[in-house]
Amino acid sequence: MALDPFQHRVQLFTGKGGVGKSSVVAAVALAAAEAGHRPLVVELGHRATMETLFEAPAIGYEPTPVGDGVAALNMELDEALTDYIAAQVRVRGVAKRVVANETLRRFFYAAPAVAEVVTLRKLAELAERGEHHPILVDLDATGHARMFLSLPQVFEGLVGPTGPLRALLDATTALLRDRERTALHLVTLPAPLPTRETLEFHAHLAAGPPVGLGYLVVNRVPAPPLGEPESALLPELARREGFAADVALAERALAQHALARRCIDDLGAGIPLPRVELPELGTLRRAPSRAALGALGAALVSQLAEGAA
Amino acid sequence: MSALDALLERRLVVCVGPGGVGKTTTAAALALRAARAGKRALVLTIDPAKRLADALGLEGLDDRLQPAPGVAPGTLHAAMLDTKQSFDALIGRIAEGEARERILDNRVYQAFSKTLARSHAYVAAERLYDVMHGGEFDLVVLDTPPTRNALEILDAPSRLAQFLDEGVLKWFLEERRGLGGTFASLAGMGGAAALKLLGKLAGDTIVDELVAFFRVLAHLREGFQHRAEVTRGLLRDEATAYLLIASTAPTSMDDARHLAEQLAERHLPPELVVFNQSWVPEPGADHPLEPPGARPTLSEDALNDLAARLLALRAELLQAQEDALQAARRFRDEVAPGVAAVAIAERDHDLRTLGELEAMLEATLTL
Repeated sequence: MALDPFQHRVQLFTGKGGVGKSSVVAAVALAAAEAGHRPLVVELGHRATMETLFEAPAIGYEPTPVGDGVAALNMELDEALTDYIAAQVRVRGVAKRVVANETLRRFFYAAPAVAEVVTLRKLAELAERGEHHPILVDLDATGHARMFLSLPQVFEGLVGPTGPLRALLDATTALLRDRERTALHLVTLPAPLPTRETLEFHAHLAAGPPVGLGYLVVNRVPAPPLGEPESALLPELARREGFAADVALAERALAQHALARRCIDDLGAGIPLPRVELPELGTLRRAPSRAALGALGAALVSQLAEGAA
Repeated sequence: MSALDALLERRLVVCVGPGGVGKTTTAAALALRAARAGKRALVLTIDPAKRLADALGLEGLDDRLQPAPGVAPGTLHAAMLDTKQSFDALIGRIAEGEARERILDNRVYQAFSKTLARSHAYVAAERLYDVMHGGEFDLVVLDTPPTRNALEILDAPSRLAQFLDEGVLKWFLEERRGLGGTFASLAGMGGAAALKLLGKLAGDTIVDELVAFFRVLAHLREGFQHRAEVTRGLLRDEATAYLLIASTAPTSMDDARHLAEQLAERHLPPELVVFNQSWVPEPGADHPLEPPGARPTLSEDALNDLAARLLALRAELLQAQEDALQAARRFRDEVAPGVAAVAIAERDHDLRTLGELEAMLEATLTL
């Protein structure tokens, strides 16, 4: 089945910390802009990775162009909260004063799910506004995605059948569950721990409330360190004087590569989604350049297209 | 004494670091090292980490403090911070009889205690109070969540204390009468107006439950506040050390930098920075990879080609290792000048045994 990577208005990216989710999101954004869309990257507070990846100055609460047709915004709790309150009391000045009220602030920051509710509200608004498409959301970690998806259950029984919060919950739940508008993508690494966590998360999703799943990105897939014929010769070289350490090093690299392939096989067997394998970006330890991110995005798009063929 | 071993003399080590750097494993390895040195050590993880449980010889990690078998001369206990379980246990300790039932049945409480990000910090803080006050452990190693706001745990006790501040509770529990105040006069907003506002924002059901929740909490305020105060002091005590765990991947270093800044803002600089998986051990040795050198020439071309290919592979790995160590040193100099830093080797295996877990901290380089 063909999967158009830019079909869904709201695209959520989730994965264990350190899997390179932000780079993948930036890569998809560049590819979307390349294809003529107006993508928006949404980061959830705390810190704007996109500032580093796009070398853009302060990204705030409103969509900020970061170059190459991509916009980004940083979801700030105070602003999102003010927005939410302003929508209810209809006077922005009052909303600002409420958020500035120390006691209420404490309450909102300590209370559960407030951040999630107001974040979802903003997302729904951005989706509705339609100025940007697709909206690519960089979720903090798998825990975060679970939280979003289980929000309606958390509030079940707590929120009455009517009222603004009910309306908001219903609207955002509808958006999250609408397979035409929203997709959740999984990002992982070909290593045992992230693989296991991704498999568990996928099983958890299958058992939970419905959400449209997009694709699975296996990031930083290593290239084989040696070709087949070379590998076959290793035992022979090992028998010669002076090569033991080199052969052991190669065997270790081969074993690591084999382990990565086994993880990918496990992921494929457990998760029936279109799968994209992205290469390790250049040398290991440097932040990827914009050109490298662009190439990564192009690879993702072409692999999804090939998968459909 | 090495910087790692100096940590073992503390009473509490808080492990902070971005996701995917092996934070939980490092925390466990440190606690194990303490136990091997004769301490009664406890590691509090936030991850069910099946493999870690296996390595410790445990069926699984949960809320209970379980001893790892076969550790001597000290002891090693492990437990996982389970938000829901720990919260219920906490209420069990603080509240009695009807009050307890009322809290456990309250929907605001139920929402609060479920696995919501913000709850973790409270649970961790509370659990710390318990284990540190029991006096059963010489060293407690605390793992923190792999999110960018992992340091919420440092603020949780203060925030809880503020939240339960008598003024705030009274403010919310003020008689719900005379709700004639308009939103225009919210500047000097009292609790009644606030509740009216909340009713408008969130619906009356939630407000009723909230008031009920606060009503019960009001009775428990002193207990909570005392604990929060003690835990707050504990996290800033001289016997507490912060360990920043990072990897040398660029995005991970950005997150680590952010965490280091947050620590600095709280005047709690890390005692030690650990860069995990940051150098490649020479096969069969515990020192970093050696540069490619001269190798014998063989009579078969195919083998000579392979040997050349292997030298190139060695050179590539060496370059990556050099880059990583350089990035680590730069990080230390910029972000945590003067702080001890160690680099831990990449691993071939999964740390499936106690021995492997112990060996993890043996292969270290001081930066």
